[in-house]
Amino acid sequence: MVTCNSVRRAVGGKTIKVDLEVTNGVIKNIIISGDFFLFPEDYIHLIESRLRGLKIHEVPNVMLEFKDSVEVVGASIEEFIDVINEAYKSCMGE
Amino acid sequence: MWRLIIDEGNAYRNMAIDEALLTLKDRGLIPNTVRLYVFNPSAVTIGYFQRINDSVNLDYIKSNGIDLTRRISGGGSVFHDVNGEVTYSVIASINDVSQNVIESYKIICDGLIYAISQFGLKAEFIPINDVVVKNKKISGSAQSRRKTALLQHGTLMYNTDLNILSNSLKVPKEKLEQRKLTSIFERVTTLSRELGRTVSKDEVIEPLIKGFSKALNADFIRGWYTDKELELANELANKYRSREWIFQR
Repeated sequence: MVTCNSVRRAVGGKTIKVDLEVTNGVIKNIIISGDFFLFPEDYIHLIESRLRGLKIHEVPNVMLEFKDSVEVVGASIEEFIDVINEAYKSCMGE
Repeated sequence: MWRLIIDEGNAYRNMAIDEALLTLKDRGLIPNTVRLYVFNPSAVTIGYFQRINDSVNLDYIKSNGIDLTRRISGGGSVFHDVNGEVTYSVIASINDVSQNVIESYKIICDGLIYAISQFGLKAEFIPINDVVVKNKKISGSAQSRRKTALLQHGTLMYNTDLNILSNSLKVPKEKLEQRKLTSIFERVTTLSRELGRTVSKDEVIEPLIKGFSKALNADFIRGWYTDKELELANELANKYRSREWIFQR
């Protein structure tokens, strides 16, 4: 298991941090944190649970499915995907 | 007609009441309400999505008797100084403010701007959720929404001890780098600091009432919570003081 993280200041002004645990190229655990706003708030748990068990290339499609059900303010779903990718790359030592 | 409640309590009770009112407002059971309240004892609240270890100096707040809880709203960590900060909450039908999130922040923050202007200071709304005086933050707000109702709560720092604030909160270095600033002192201020005298809590209550009345186009009736609100808040307070809730991420 490898753990790693990535942090970014979103264009909308808020901070996004992604903490990842990766085993054999599979996301074992993920926490998307920061000072952004996301409505409804408890969807963050649903998003994180949908990402567990995925390979990195599967992340964008799953994340984009949430575009209709959540509103992100101060950051964006696309930026969440970018920070997840950055964290994954650092897990892989890239 | 809006209800106005002036209150004081600990962090768990304050956050529980905000959530109870949002829940009951969303069910259409209570009037639009503005709360003005103080955290006693002083407390740190962190945003729903924040990691505790990234946002709070736990050792410092523990050794200084500062309470800690997590909000249902997003946004950043806040220090609520019992001797220097008034918190407001607006609990209202979304249709009575704005469907648009940023627009609703602006409408409600205008209440703070009107309040601050009564001290002869020019304040500005900086989207998404800050009010600044001379480019320094004097108020931060956070919103949570249900289907038909919104809760916006936020601060007005009239005499916050910025040393304690600075020691209590962790600020991501990415945030400071982007703003090319080095410390909380350079980006946060209080009414007392700007006016060069000690401002008291009693001085800010009336300007806040007038400010929100104007911003929300609301006539206020001073009131208190119903039994149902207090009953729900009492249940929710247990969540706000639980480790599971506070340390969930």
